[in-house]
Amino acid sequence: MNLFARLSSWWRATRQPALTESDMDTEIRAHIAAHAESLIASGVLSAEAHRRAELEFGPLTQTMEACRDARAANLVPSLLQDLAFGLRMLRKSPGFAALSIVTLALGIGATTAVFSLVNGVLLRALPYRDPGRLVYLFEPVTHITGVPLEAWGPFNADFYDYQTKSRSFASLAIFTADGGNLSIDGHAVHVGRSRVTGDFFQTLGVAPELGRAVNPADDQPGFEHVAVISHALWQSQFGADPHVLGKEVLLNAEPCRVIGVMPAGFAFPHGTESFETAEAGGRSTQVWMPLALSPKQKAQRDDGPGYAIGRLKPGVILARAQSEISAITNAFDKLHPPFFQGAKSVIRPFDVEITGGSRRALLIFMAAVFLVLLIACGNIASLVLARMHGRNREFSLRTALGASRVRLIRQLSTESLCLAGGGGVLGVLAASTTIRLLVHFHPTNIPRLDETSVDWRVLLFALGACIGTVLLCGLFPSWSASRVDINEVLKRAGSRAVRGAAAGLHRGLMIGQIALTFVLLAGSGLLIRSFLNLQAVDKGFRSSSTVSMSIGLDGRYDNPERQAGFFREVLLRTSGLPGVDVAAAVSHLPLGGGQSLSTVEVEGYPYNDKTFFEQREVTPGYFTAEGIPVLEGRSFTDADTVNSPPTIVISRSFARKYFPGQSALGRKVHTTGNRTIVGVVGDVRQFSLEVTPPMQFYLPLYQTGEWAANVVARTNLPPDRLASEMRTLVRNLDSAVAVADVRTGNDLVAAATAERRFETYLLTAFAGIALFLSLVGLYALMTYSVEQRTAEIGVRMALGAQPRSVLHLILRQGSALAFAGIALGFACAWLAARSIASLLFEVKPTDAPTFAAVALLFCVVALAACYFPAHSATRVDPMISLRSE
Amino acid sequence: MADRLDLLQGTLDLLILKALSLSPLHGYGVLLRIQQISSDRLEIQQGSLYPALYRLEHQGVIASEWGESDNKRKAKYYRLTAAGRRQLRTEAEKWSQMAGLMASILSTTPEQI
Repeated sequence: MNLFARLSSWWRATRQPALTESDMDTEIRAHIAAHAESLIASGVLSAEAHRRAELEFGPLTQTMEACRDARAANLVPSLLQDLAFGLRMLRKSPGFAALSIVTLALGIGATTAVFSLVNGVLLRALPYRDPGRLVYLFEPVTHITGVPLEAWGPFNADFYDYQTKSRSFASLAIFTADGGNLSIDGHAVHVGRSRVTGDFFQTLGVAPELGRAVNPADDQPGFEHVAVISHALWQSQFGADPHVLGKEVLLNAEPCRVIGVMPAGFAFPHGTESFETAEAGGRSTQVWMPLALSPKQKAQRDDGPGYAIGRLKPGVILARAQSEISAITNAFDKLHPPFFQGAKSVIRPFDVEITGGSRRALLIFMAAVFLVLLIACGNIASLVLARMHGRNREFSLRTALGASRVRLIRQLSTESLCLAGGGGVLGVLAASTTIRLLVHFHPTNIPRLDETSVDWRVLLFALGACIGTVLLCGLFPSWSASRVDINEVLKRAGSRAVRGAAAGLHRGLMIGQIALTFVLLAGSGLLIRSFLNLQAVDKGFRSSSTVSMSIGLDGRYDNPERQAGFFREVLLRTSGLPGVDVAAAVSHLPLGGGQSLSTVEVEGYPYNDKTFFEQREVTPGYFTAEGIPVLEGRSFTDADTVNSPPTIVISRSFARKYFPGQSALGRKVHTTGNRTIVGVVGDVRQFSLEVTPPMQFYLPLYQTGEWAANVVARTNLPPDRLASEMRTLVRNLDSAVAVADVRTGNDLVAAATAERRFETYLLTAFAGIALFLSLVGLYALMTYSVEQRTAEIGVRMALGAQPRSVLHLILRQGSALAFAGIALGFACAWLAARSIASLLFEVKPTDAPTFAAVALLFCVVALAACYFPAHSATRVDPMISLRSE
Repeated sequence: MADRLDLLQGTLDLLILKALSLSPLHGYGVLLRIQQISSDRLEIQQGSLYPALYRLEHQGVIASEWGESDNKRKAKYYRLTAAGRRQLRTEAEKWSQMAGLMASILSTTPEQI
């Protein structure tokens, strides 16, 4: 109907209540007077006429009240009245109010905190222009398995084919993620570097805050000696000098000129999950340089140094781009060398790829925290229900005095709203503190976590959670309470009139809460067991008392002898430092990030291109330094050089698989030369603690050479002290080479377990909150039930019941509830556990000891929650309780 | 009184709209007009008239202004708005359909089945 008319009439009535009132009065009085006059005209006496006119009009006040309601004039005043009354009622029962508000604050706080995580990581837009149109383009070769999709950048010539032939992309670029030594005025630091093609910055849609970005003109051999630097590097190494543009620096000992500074926060591609290259530059990109491929390189179909990122044209959907690109791939696939034939192209949305792995964990948190909120709602609902029963008499009186059901529900909802408001405010405060704690924990592998904060979306969510809570836990009990049968209640003059249905509802709520809590507890129990298992797993190396740092060489060290010579000198001097037991170098540290996989040909076996081995280059002393046991034969020695016969050391599982029941020593393995096995060492969890390592082999670094290596020292020196000595030592050897990534072995292990620790702590915290909430709920329910049964207990005791039997009576009632909840929860958890199977480590989702332990814990704590109400029941004085009836 | 009918639920609004469609009236006038056109056969509780008037005004189907009654008294006159005229038309149509339907149902004889 006419909304405007309604609003304006409501506005008038609300704005000028006095005028409206007097109008109404005048109008009705005029009516009665007119009727009286017409009665007089028909011959009735004046006094009698007025009496009859008023009588025939009907009850005056009720009519006027109905008129006020008709134009909604009462809405605001009565809402205010409800609010004041609600607050007064809450003040009268501060225990109830405090308990409800704390419960709500916990529920809403936990939900809001986790939502802000999800918001910060998954929902908030990436800081690039129109990030929804950004995609990665991978080009895996189908028959080569065991290599993750993200490792497959396109081959050079393929990329240029895509760039020229595709119509789906506004632009397409290649980038690399590596590291380098940046030397500024004779002082070297290690930086994360990305080499990019000319369209890179345009594709991402990010402009520099100073100077210019790399453009296509820079991306040619001969013009590539320019560098764009990050805001952080500009501040730390250039003192935020506004005249930095044009400054000459050395990158890997080659001169280049600073042409631009990127805005703060832009550090792509380092630190994004897919291209984590910890040993090559850490978590952020600090220097961008042109890739500048030569025409010969551009024609290669068997090499590709980088990854491809593209921006779709407006209106082009992923599937269309994918089918177009696939057609292009099929056309040139036969040009690949045979080993790389069978390539296909895969387009992935940028945002999904960036947050990929953490998505599942975050969604599981969201589900868990939603359960917590449900439990909190259940708690409030049962608290409200319990209170409703106590107020039956009040509601009956109000109904008898003419309050409508809608009016009662509105009154009760206002009270719930007061509670939810208080709980919501506290909850948001709690959430913002929690977020700071979460960011402090900062597991390395949840990207963008540090960007998490409370923003409008989070506040909106909290508001929604509050309103949802009110609807769920306020309205429902109010509705059932407003169905009070007045006559029943007033007749019995008691508070026990409404037992049956509402009490059943109350018990059902409690059982549901216990079941949900059980599910959460079981989930966190499984995670805790996984975490303990992980802590106890045999890593294959000793992480304590080691310090490591990475050193990368540049183009001046362009053959294995020079590289080996440099590292040999560094290690010689490091070993000589007081406090260092042994020092060695390795191409990729255990748990240090980075991976090197290769195929080999083993003597006596046909070549198999499907089996990948972890390959590491190490110096003599490495196995001692990392505490890896040499099981057979020998470690490498200083005699394993470029000029000596090629040697190799293999892992135990390698030896067992290929040389079962015999010695592997002296056998041959073909990889970069035909090598003789000189030793067998233990298996090491190098890449991840959570997966059984593949077969591994080691090559002598002094024989193969290596551009970059990690120095590991077994020492009890503080890492900072060793690092500063090492910096001096390396600077004395070559001032353009930097020392980076100083970490202890325990740091690496902690980082490798950080995500699991985070998940475990978080879920355990949720389960703890849930346990607390449902125990409070159980306690409140039992206390209330004892109050309800005071008279009954009084009668029993008057008839000679012992306190012990009363205690048992109440405990039996409580434990029946608890057991029903535990049984239901057990069944639910048993079914739901499968969904977190992928988060578990060496624990079955239906691990019997965990379930049993959780059930036992719950029984004990539930009995404790029932004990106090039961105990107070034994102190009921029969005289008092009987008299009060 | 035996020949007087109680109002059916929901018909008062329609009666008021019909009464006002003939000419603007004050509250008491509406009562008299309904009694007049129903030949005094409808029983209306006088007080129930006003909440209905206020509700209709709140809905915007009638509007009011203060004027003077025939016997020089200050009176609030109600008139139909455009929306009111539309509503009267649709409601009246619905009502006569319903009445026709009810009449034909109630007059059904066993032979017709």
